Amino acid sequence: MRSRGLVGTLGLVTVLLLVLGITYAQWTETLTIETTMETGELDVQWSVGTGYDSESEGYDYSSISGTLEDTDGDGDYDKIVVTISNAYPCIDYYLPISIENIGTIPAEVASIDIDRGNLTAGTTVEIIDGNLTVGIEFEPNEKLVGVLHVHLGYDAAEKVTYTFTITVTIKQWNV
Amino acid sequence: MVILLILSIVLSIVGFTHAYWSETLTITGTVETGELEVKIYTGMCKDENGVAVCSWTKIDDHTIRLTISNAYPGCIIKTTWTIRNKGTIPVKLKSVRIENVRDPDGLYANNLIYVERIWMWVREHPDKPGHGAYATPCYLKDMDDNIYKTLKDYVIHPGGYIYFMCSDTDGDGIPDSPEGDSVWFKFLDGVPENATLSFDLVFEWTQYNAP
Repeated sequence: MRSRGLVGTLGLVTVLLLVLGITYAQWTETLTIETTMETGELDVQWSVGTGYDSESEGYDYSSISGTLEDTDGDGDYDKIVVTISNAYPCIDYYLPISIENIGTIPAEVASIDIDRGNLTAGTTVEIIDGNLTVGIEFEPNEKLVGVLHVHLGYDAAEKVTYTFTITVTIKQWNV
Repeated sequence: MVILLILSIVLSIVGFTHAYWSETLTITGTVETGELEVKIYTGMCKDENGVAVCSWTKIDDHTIRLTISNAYPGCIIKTTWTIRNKGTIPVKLKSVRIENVRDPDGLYANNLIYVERIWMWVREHPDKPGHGAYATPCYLKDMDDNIYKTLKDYVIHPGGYIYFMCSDTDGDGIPDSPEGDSVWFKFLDGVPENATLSFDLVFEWTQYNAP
């Protein structure tokens, strides 16, 4: 009698294992999401127009001009070299400038810093007549325009070279 | 341990803040100033009768000195000089002054010298023709004022000049005869014997657009 009970128990266990075996052998599928994140680009560059000044007709002795430079070799113009030749006091010099958003995200002018270098106290250097101002946002392909204005004061000396630097920092719009 | 943890979190936040994208654009400017340079050059000085002795001396680029001796009543001394804009910007006359008068015999003080002609040739621009300019005859004391009044509205461009003579004998627009019309000093009756006189003639210039 005892052996019949043992056989019965073993048979029951076997049946249970078979049932479990069938459960583990069921079909399976795996689904995945493959993600590629391509970031945008914050990129801006200068452009420059033709300079002019306040000399009267027949008194065209001095001039202002600007040339573009790509200092880091990335194909964009990140520097304007401005030259004012044969300058003298009380003449206003103007150079149209603009910053174009050539990137893929909106940009914002974070700061405009003017280092007056060795210019005399009576000399003015500023960016006027446009929307090139701190805090302004501009979209891709949009331009900010302004005019670089230099006015030499009467305290300027003859036959001297003065230098100045303007640094414009552009940041992504949302920070 | 807690402090270190907080510090790490703070630094992480700061690090994240500085990691935003930015671009820097620059403008470098160079201003090369011009030069205001006007020079005066002495010219002829002579008594046509060869009796009086006179000479010009250049003191500096703006000043010439006329020295006269052995003049006599009725003597006419003819003189010339030239002023040229040698700089890079146009200029205008700021002042004309007679200075450092050495007048031991009272020729200047007693109005014994009359400037009978003050004829000039002004060529404001080297690419344009010149023309005559004539200051009002006057006693020597007033000559500086009269020259200034005549020339004050002219703008002398780089390369332009003023000849203090006005005889264009060949009609080419350039004075060519120092013997002709220029600046004439006539010594009047009352000039003492062996009298001498010298004075400096100073021309001060400024840029044309000065207020």
